[in-house]
Amino acid sequence: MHISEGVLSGQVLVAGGVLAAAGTAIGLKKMDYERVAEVGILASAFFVASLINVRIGVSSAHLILNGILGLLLGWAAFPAIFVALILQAVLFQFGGITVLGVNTVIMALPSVICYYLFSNIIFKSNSLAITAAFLGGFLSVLFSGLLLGVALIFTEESFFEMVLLIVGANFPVMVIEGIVTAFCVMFLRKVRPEMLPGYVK
Amino acid sequence: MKRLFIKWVGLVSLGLLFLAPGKMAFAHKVNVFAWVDGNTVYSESKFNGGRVAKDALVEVFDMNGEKLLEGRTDDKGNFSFAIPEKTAMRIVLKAGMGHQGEWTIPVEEIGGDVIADETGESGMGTPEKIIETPVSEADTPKMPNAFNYLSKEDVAGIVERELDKKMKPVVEKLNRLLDPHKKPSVSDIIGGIGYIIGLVGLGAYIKSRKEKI
Repeated sequence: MHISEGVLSGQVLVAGGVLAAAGTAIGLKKMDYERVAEVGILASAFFVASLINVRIGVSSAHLILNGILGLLLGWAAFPAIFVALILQAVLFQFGGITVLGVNTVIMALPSVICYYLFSNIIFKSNSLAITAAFLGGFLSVLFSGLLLGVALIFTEESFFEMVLLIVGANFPVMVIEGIVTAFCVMFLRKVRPEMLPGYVK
Repeated sequence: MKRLFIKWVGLVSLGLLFLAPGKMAFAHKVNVFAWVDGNTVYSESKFNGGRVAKDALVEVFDMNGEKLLEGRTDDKGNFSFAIPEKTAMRIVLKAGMGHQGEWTIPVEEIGGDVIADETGESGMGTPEKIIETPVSEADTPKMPNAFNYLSKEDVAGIVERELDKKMKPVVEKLNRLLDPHKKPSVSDIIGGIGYIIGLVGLGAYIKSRKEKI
């Protein structure tokens, strides 16, 4: 999902930067500082996840984990992903510093969307919660793919063809992320329910 | 009921995994790597993790941004072309979906007369023999003869070719060392996590200060 340096036009970079800054500001403001350690742990998980390559047949893609970040952190996913992306850009040369804003929006906005869509279903019945968590992981990658397509509109020729390509290539990742997210949420529900959104004692 | 549901979700997702059309590489970084050998520029294109970038667009620009040529990588991610002119070159690889990598060849790497010299490997045998004769057979009458038909340019050419031949393994080794296709190292990963822990500490510190005041 990382867009490389030098692909996008200046306007797209600036727009991405502004949106990312706004999202990060909201995230920092809304972040509960009691949970700063949790944000850090999830940022680390995100940072490392992109090194885990999923090889299916001839294709390979990597985990993103933005679904679980969104479900657990809400808006705080923005600063977490922003920091992790800076480090990925500097240390791994994934993405780049100028595309940081765009990449942050591509990965963090779907997290927030999934937070609003699914966070209040997590404490419903088991099957509902599993479905919600799976969809959270699945859809956040799908939305990221769509946003990636939008960011690339101005540089690639045909939008629909490219979105199909991106979604097709990332389909296995969506399914895996869905499963991973569902497992995480069900596990946390049992052992640390207070980490999940909407927890009432 | 619950077990059944989990089983069902698992089975369906596994099924989807194997059905998934996975023809496209979708890694997070793509690298192009190019070197000069004689009068040809060779380039190698790989995704991070070592998968080759097949059928990807390669564009070659000079330093003024003017496009010199373009082509597509083959099944092994390789693309080679004859040096079009003696200038520094920027080789840009476009692997689609926002993946792009580039490599610059400075003008010093492009040899002096490489563009004119087309003889290449096949021509190498002959000059070698010529130069060997006067060295091994040291009898005087042959010496002037040898120098008669070895002009200054010939000697320069021979030296150049011989040097190229001798230096080839060294250059290849250097190229391997400079090869950007390496994976992130453990120290990179641990360093990154360390940074995040540091930021968490900073956050906690700021919070504790706010509470005191």
